[in-house]
Amino acid sequence: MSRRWWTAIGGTAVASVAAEIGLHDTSHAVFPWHSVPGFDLLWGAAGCLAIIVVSKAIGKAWLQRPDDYWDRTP
Amino acid sequence: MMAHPSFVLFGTAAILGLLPRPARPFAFVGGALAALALVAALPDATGVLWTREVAGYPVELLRVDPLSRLFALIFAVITVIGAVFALHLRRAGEPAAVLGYAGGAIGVTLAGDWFAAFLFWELMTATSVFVVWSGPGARAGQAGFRYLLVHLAGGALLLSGILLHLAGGGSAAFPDWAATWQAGWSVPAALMLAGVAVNAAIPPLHAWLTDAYPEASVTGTVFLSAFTTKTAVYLLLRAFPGSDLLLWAGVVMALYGVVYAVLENDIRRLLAYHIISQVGYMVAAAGMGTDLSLNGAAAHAFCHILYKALLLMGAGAVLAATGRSRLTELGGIASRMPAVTGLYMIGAFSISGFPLFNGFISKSVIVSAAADGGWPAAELLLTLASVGTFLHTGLKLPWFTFFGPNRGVRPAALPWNMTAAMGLAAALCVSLGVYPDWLYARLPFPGFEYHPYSVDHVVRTVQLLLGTGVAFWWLLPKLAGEPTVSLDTDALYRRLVPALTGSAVQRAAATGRALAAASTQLALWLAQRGDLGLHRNRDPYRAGVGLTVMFALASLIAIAVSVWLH
Repeated sequence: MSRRWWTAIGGTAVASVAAEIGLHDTSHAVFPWHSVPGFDLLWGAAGCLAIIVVSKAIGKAWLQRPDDYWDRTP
Repeated sequence: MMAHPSFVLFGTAAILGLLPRPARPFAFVGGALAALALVAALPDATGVLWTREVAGYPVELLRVDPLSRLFALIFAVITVIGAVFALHLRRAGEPAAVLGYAGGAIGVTLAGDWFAAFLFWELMTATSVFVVWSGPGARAGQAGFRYLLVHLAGGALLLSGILLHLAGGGSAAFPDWAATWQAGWSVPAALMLAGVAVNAAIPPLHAWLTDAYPEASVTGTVFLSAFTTKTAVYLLLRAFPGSDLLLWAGVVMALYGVVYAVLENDIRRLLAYHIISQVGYMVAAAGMGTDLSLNGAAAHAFCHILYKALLLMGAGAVLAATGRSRLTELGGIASRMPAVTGLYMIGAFSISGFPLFNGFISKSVIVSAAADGGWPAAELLLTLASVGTFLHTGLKLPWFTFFGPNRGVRPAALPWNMTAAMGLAAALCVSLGVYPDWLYARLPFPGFEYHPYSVDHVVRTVQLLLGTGVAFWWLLPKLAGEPTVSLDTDALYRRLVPALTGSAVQRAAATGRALAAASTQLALWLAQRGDLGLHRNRDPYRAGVGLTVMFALASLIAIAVSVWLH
């Protein structure tokens, strides 16, 4: 990705955290993490990493078979 | 007396094969439009419009309340959009099966009691299997056969539950759905729930979906994605709201589909796994059983049908234009298919819950309901599933299909109607995202007030999407498709049971094949006469099973007609 894209993403991230701190809108806040600025940035990134790593590990260990697996006679 | 929308669809299905080929597309869309007009004309007041007496039992074939009206409306809308997508078809078999299937789905939602719901429920099975069988290649025949067996088993569970419920002094009428499910566990309730759970694709009963849907034709998959799982969601909302079991089953579903989608190489099967994930939100919301969650489930079903149809139309358009559906064989076609790419991305933004798209205004209701109801783990895990949704349908699939390096793919031109249908669905996705109050005003619980566009809500959604996007880019090399398939619970009946039962089954199968071969000749002759398109595939099982199902279908229609005339 180009430098321009990264700048846009970084800028939006900073602006979103600033908006959380500055506007302090808690109309939907119920649990403590709803009020932590930037929590969803981290949850999104960490969650995405976890989904990829854990799924790939499960796939390699147990689930994945060659493409023609179901075409073979058992 | 008001005409029943389902019977208009059945009537159109019945005459379609008799019409000259050029007239069929008009009848297909015309029948769907007529059903939509009838659904739109259903009265606002709650009430029973059609009752017939069968064996001493009054069977309510047409009953309207806000929940049934909303589901019937979206089913009718998607039938029109799907018919436009399939407008170039000249064969009669698939459109007829689709219209019967749509009539079954609308019939379930407008059924006033368990008897009527079961009648239409089985009609859905009998017709949808023909939609699967209309797919190209031998795999569609085999997957359709497995699909049929699983759904017949599911239907038997549901019927057993209904009959035991009646034998125990229960009523055929649906419970007062607005009251939270308080009946407690009983054998009939468990059987009925298991029967519905098969169609809702709740793991481990889900594998029929990801097995069969990607084998159907590009036009058939659009309808399959809309009806079966959502009628099951409808019945869960109607009969089982507030069951804790459903809450956690739904959360597991939402993540289950995400895990498999990481491993999936076929774009239509990847999207099929995301049907399971998305239906998981609705099942979880049914399990929460609060006013907010039940309205959220109904809203999400409405929006999901639109964006999932759009996504599958996009993937289907790619398959139709390139002949390829594997990530490992696709890439870099955005500049050659700009309209499909753009419209697919609208579906991707919708399912990912981007603000201003319809997924945002419905999924957020369910996540908010989890928070308001005091289920922190469910809230966090459903949010995690959203991350997976954006990762796959919004980033991985489009990157490796449309934007990544081109692998020498040269797409052919597509019929205009395919793009037009995608445009219709996309317009509705955006309209609902921009103006959610139209949908909110039609949700089943009155007095619904929800403000998706609050500052904190929008900001947190944007953060979640940004975080996902950055992690995706970081791990991009790991996400390329691999030429593999993933074992799922269907391995139990596709590999384990045959391995254990061995030669006895093989002998029975040989006898069955001999019988099937004889009936194949008859069916092929019939198919050539009736131009049902069956002659394209000479799978020995297909025609034999097809005849059986046609017999069942004819019996059900005969029963329905006799009830009507009674």
